[in-house]
Amino acid sequence: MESLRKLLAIKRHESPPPGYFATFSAKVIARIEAGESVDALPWWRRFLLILAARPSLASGFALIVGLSVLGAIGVAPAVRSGDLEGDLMLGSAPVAIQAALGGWSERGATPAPETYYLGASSVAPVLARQTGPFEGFVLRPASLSVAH
Amino acid sequence: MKASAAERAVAPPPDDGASEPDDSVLVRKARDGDLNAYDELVRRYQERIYATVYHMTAHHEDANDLAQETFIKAYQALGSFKGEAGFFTWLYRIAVNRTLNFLKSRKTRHHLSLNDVDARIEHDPDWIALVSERTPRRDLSLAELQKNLNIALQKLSDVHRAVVTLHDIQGFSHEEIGRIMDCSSGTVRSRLHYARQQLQAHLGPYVK
Repeated sequence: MESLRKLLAIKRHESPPPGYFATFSAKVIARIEAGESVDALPWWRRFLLILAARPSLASGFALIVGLSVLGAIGVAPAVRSGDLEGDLMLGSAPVAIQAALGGWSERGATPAPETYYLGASSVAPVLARQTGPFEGFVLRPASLSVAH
Repeated sequence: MKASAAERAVAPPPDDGASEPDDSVLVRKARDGDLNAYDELVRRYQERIYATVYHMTAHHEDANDLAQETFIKAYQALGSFKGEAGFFTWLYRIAVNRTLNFLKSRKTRHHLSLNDVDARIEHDPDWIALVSERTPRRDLSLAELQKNLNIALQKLSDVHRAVVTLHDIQGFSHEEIGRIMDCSSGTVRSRLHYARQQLQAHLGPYVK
């Protein structure tokens, strides 16, 4: 065992090329400044690690997510209520579209701007479609009816 | 009195109060974004970290990459450094774990890329005693002994090589190694005993 210990002295005297350590720390700092990550983690894992390291950031993110969830929950009853006047349900849309298409084909080549009522609520955005064969076609929230 | 290899390897740099801030001061500054403070930490431990990784891999280029990655990883993880163990121990733990993971993922046994042995070995008492003994190794060149020693070390398992590196080459105590490798000092002792037996068997006439 003593001979082995002495033989291992060789290892203690193995040295990298001269000047190696003169630039080592500069290279490390340069890589840190470049934002290099040494772990090949996917972006979402890195994001979770950042949140774990910064509780305040995690709290803010949780607040945003929570408010978004609450907002979605608040809107959902209106969607499920079945009230066409003020709801977002688009189940009636095919009926309205069919009726409008029927009206359009009767009139002939160039359709007048048709109005499709998709039962959007008063807070839903109005969808204005300006391209394609239905140019000038405007969707407006109102009761379910087809204007000619 | 000249410090032993163990003392040089284990002890953090002396704090003369005037020009050598304590590790904890530098860590605090680095955590606040002071890269100059972290640069100082890197300079303090670059040689020892590189040496540890090199002895475990016997490959200069791999050791270069892993040593740099150790310091980058340590910087990124400064937020999670609680200071219970010293920064020195914590840094070593990162270095050893990264190297063990690298060696585990390396499918085939790499060829050696050995550093030169510097001329100071001629003044090392252990080396002088070794070559003065009437044994087969006396007639071998230093390069040949170095190569055979590294081949024998590479035959050990990664964990056993790590223990030999930390204790017999770098001079850490069993307790320090236990803290670095997250095991008991008893486990360190038994691994060391086994590793030395294996090395004796692999090196044969060179250690008789």
